[in-house]
Amino acid sequence: MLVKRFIRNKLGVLGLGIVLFIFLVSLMAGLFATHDPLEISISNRIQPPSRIYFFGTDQFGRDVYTRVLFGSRISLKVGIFSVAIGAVIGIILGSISGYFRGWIDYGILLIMDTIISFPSILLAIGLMAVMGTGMGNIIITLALICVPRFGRVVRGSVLSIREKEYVEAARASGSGHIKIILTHVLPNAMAPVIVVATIYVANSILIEAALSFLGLGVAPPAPSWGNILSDGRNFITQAPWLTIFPGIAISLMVMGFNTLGDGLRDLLDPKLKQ
Amino acid sequence: MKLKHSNSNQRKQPSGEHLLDVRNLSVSFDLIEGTIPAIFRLDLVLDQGEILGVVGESGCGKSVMAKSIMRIIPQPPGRINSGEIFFESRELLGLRESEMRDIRGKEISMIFQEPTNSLNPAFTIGDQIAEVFRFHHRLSKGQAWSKAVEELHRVEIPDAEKRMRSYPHQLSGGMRQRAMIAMALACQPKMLIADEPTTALDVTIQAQILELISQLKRNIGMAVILITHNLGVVAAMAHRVMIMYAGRVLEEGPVENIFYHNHHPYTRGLLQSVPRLDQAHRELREIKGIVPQLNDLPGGCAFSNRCDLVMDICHKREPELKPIGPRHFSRCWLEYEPQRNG
Amino acid sequence: MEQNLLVVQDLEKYFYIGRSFLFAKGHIIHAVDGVSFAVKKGQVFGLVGESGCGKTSAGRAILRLIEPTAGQVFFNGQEVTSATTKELKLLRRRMQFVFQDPYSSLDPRMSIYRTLREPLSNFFTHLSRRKIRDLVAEYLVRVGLEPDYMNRYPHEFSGGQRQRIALARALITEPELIICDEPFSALDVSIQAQVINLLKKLQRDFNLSLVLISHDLAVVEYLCDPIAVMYLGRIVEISPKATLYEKPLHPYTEALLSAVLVPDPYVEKDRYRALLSGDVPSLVGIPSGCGFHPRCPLAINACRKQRPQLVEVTPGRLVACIVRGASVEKQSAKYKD
Repeated sequence: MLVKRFIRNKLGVLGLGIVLFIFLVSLMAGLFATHDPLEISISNRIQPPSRIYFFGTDQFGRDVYTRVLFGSRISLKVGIFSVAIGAVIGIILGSISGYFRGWIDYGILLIMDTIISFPSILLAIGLMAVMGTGMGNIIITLALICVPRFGRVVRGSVLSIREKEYVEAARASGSGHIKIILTHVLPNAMAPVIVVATIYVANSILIEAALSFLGLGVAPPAPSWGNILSDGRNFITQAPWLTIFPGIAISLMVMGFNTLGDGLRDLLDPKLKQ
Repeated sequence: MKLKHSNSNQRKQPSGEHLLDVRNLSVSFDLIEGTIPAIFRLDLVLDQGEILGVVGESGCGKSVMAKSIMRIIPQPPGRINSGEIFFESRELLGLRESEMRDIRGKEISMIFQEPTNSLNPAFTIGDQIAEVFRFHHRLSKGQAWSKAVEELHRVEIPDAEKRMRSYPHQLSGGMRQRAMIAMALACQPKMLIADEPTTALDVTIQAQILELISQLKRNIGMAVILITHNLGVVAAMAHRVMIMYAGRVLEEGPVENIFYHNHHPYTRGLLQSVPRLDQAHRELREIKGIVPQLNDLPGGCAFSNRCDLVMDICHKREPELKPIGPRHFSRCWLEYEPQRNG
Repeated sequence: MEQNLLVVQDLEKYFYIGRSFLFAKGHIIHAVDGVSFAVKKGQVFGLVGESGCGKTSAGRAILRLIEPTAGQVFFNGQEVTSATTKELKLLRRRMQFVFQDPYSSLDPRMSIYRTLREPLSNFFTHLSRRKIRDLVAEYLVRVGLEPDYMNRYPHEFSGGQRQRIALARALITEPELIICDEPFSALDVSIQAQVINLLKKLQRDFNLSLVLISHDLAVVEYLCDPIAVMYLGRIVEISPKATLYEKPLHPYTEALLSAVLVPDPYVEKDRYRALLSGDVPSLVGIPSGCGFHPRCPLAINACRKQRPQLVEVTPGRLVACIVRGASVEKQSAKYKD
């Protein structure tokens, strides 16, 4: 029933398609690859796209196509893990904050608002500069950025849900606070969370790309779309293919997750209207 | 099966006598779930100075009917499929929107259940009432303002001058309703449509508002269509009553007939299922079943699946509205003579 | 003399509006301002009044769904207001609540089975899954629904059916007292009668004590005996059903009764209507003394100064009015077992 309605939303289906496609690609990068992503071949540097090198080569003679393929793994990993961790922490904080109100609410809100008040990229740069590069640190940083966003969304939902009569009815039925939060409040608060999650996956990928572009992200020679872009920065006029293809990949992934999020949001909305 | 009276049109005479004459009105809504028939071939007449009570439960179409007369049904998703609405011999459905705007608020006014819906929260009530005068009578700002104060006096809002500067949210429910009445009656319309005007109000305030409406009606001499689900309101106020169900009129007649000599099983069921303050020991008799969804009506008579006098034919064909007395009509196969189980 | 099942003593609930964060500023709303009454076993007690009279807050405060600011509530002799969390949970098994809005009192994401199972699994932890299913089915039938409705979700049901489910939920723990907050208001007229009759039948079958909170005097009169009338957070009159309508004591009760419209044209056209002037005042800034004095046709000077106590004028009939209660020596009505 839900699936049928989702299919009607063409944008959402498109988004889902793109996301699934990227998943597949990253899983089977090895199969689709034509070369070794790290293999250097000085004689073949800066070659335009050809039948051997689909997307051309970079200044070290590495195959851009293969690097972009493998880069999808990093982007996906970063995007999904950071959002997952951020969401879990954000949901816990947001629901405690919204349900219990009072001092706990003020305290948690203070923390969340502090984090949000920093522009994400600046915060990311600052944290990475302190912690050092590496995928683990990137994931932690991006998760931290996600936490207050999820927290606020969940808190908002929880604030309205806790006033509903079925929550009162659960208390009259003898249920304790934790049980009520887990069985009544959270399931009803999840709708916006899913939508926010897809949007922030896209967001995290963008920030990761920015970090790598600035040299603060994934360490070379590992292929991340961000540092492929970065590498190609100096050759934009001579070898535009070095920036175009990773750029398209990033755009595709962001668009995919965003439209998937839109589709999910539309899916969940008319249900509420019912 | 033989029918004694098959001509359901005999009640319609050419208009000219009636203030309002609605004929064969059918309205539906095109929604994602499908087309919902909200009103099905409705006839209604209203004479000068008359109060017609329209009674029905949710989904019966009473609000849609009121809004259709005022032509404030959004089309789409609404659709007026058929019908004519004669107001003083002018056919309303054929008018241009600009002509209709001249009528709304001046000749025909409407008040609603929730004053918050028709009172703009961003403007003072003084401004909103004055606006009616400025628009319909082309008065200047100053003149309109003093007229508005007069109106507030008329609806018995204390401290009228001061209240002119209040915003709707600063007034209580009863006051807001009075303000809305002031706005509606400012131009002394010939007809007032009141859609559940007291449902959201406390009982003691309801009494005040109904008394006010009665008084103003007497002063202005206007006709009223009073829409409500409350049979007590109808008993107190109406001259004639129309009982609606699932977009149809099931019974219609003078108020005494409807209460004391009613024919339709639904009318009877309603009256028996309402607790009465003066008869606390009377047993409450229910109508079984639930109010139907408009796109899922039983075949034949719309009430057939809940009626305890149901017969075979009730499931097969829908009866017409049949006259059963002076200005008294009922839509029920029981009105048709012998051979009912044909 | 039967024991009192529920005793409410000087119950108060004040709300502070306007951010009273560090400095307790802002306005105080005296939603419930000293309410006392008692309900015996098997009695149906009516609590009637207009909007803002505090009846809804009182109902919730009795079960501590909102915490009372002052006062005491006793259930079968045990004090509810000072009960610990554990004790309160045990009490909740025997005191249940039915809410007004059938569209928001059932969790839209839980099947009816899960909704009805919740109170069972809270209070009877040893029940087997099969036994729970049986109980859920049994109570669905008792409220006039099909047992296999338990697998459906709230949005598949009409308002009347949802209210029946809410009743089943309240009954399934076999409580002795159920507080019903406007259980019929959101229902269509023809459905109201069904649920009213159902409640009446269930009350008789289980010998339940009910506190029925409603603004609809006709319904309260039909179901309840005795009936308490509330105004501005206080009880102004308590009377057995038989005398409330015939011989109301408090002027507010009189006005209320005369304002209720009866579905009978001849009765209505002839009626004397004691029209109250003015609005129902807000709960912020209750008039001094007797809250009703600004609108009362009988008000005398003393009414402005002194708050009248609830006085027993004849056995079972109490009124809080200086003028009407004057014939009997003043003694505060206290209900203790």
